[in-house]
Amino acid sequence: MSFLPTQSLILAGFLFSIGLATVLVKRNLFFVLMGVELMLNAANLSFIAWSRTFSGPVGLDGQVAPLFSIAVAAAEACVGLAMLLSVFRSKETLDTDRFDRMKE
Amino acid sequence: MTNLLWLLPALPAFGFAINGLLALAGARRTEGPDRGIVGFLALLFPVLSFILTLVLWQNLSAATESVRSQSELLGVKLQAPAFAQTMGDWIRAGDLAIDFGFRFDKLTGIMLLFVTGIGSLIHLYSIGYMAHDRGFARFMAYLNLFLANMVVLVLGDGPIVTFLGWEGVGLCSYLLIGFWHHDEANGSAATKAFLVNRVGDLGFLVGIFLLWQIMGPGSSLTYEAISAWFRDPAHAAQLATPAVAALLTASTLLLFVGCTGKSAQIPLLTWLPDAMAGPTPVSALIHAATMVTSGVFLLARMADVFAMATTTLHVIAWVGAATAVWAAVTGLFQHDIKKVLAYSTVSQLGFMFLAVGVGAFDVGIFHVFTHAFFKAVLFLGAGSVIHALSGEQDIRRMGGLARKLPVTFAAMFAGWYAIVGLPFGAGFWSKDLILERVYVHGGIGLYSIALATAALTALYMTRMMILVFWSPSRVDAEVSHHVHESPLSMQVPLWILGVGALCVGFFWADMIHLDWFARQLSDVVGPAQAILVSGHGGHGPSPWLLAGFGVTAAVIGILVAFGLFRNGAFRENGREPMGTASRWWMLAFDGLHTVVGIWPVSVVAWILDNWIQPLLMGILRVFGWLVELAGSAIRLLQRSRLRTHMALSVLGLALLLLFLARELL
Repeated sequence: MSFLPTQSLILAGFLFSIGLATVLVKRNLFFVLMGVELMLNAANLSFIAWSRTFSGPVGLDGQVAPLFSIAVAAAEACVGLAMLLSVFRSKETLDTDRFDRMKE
Repeated sequence: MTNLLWLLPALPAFGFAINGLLALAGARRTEGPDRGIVGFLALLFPVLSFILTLVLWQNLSAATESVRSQSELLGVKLQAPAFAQTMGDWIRAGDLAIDFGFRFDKLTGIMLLFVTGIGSLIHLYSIGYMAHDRGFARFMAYLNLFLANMVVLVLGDGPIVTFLGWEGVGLCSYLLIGFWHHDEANGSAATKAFLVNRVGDLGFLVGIFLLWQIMGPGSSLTYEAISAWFRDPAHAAQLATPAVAALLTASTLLLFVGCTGKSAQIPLLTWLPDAMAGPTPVSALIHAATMVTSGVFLLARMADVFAMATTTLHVIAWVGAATAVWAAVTGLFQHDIKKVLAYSTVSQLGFMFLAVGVGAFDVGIFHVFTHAFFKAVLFLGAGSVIHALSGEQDIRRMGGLARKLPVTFAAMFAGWYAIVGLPFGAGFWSKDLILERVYVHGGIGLYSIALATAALTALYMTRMMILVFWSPSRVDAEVSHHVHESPLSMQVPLWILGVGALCVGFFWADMIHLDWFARQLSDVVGPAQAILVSGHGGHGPSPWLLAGFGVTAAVIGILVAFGLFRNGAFRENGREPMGTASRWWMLAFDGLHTVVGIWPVSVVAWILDNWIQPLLMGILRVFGWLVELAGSAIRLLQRSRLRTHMALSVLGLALLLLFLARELL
């Protein structure tokens, strides 16, 4: 009996949509960062689901990718949070709508 | 041995690189780099180049001797040997194939011997002359660069390689004329020399390309190939057709235009007197001994081509004669010691072209050779006088220096003795050969012009010598305290070149049957001269009689000069001796350049500036406005909100995915 990733993929799509919505809707930079993390994890989930479909229960091809992605995400979160702190120090706010100096 | 040819230009070029770097490295310091090191290096490489030339010359002579004895043994005329080295491909364009190569034959050897030899002496002289100048290292670097380019010019195995050196020496001439660039006049003299030479260079290039057209596409552009093509009897019929003959005349005339630019002949001669703005060693090396004679060298190098273009040779002879007499007259009116010598150089160059024009290529080169010695010593002596008088160049404020500057006087006396053509000096033999050839092959008209010029030469040179050395002193009291003989590094070149000015004529003393020089050149220019001379079988009067005329002309000139200037008498009060007439005489060619060269260009420039420029700018404005419009339209997409950006990029990604997946849907 072959594994159908439907439920997993639906979950992943759901998570991705929540993440995207968070990024687009939230004005607080902190929440935007969390939305990005959520989208990353949705992608990881879909990797694992497809891996199960194409290389069977023992295949590890698709399962290795999330490991890398998680490591990169950790590093990215680190840098992101550090930048967030430094932005907050100079701007005294995390409201993304206030960051509009680029247009001039 | 042959594969060492590249070292000849590379050695001075290496000196240029080192000294240039030293000059740059010391640019920030007030004193500049160490003069001892710079002077040593600057002298070392030219001397090495000279020694190498000597060695190569020895080998070539030995090879020539063995070939000569072989051909006598076999009874067949064998090709004269020459060293050649090809460095590799240079230009490959369709039918045109040019290699970068050097060729060392007897003509090249003779030129190189005095270019590197006199060049080394002048480097030595410069070490003393420029010792107190802040730009010492820069100066020596430029001199080395000049020597490298001059060697490339002479050593090139084809006109294109020669052209590379030709441009290089032009650049160095420009850099060295404007060496003291803090004075604006020097800068404009340099620019003038550069621009006037560009006109000539254009003629040179077009002339070469026309020559290539005549020889037919695909033919090789080396001197060897060109000579072989024009010597080949199979091409005689082709050359006789009117179209090809006209093309050849045009080509040779254009090449000659190139020579008039470099060698300061009518009409492109005005830059050379102005070029005296440079330091005196530069005038001696570039504007008397070597670079300005490269026009004569080029004509001799392509003797086989010019032998087929008799019309051009007539033009060359008449232009040379006209230049000689014009410059000699102008030299009479000059007050600046270097200007006198500059016009004298122009006049002597005219003599060389006159010789070439009547088909005596070897005699022309011989005069180049002797002139290099006596004009170099005259210039270096003038530099020594200027040095002694703390920069004074006006001969009206000199006089009575013979006793105070004995070495300089002795050297300049030797140079004077040679240039006026008194018996057995260098100029006597070479000028006499020119006069003889002109009489036999050029006709009485050219001969009388040449003879008159010889008398004028004696007149203005003696005037200069009287005013500088013999007449009562008119030196400022303050300056005369400081008068001193030059340092040893300046005296040594004066001694050597002074002796040379008296003796080098014996390399070809025709009347006493010493013809070493002619035998060296006979392999290179012999065939061409044989063609030209074959028409006139007749012999002129005895060479001793013609020499007598030449010496009489010189003596008359000297006596007249003593009669006129004996007391250093001058019409002072700042007026020219002959008022406006002499001014017009001197400025005639500047005026001609203005009318022929500058006015048409100015008209074109005015039209471009006032009509074409606004039109083009209008078209450009339209494009600029369109770009601006597009930019402002695209700028509407640029929102400042981060979230809007994100939404737009997500939208874009979604659209992209839809587009990629359109077949699945």
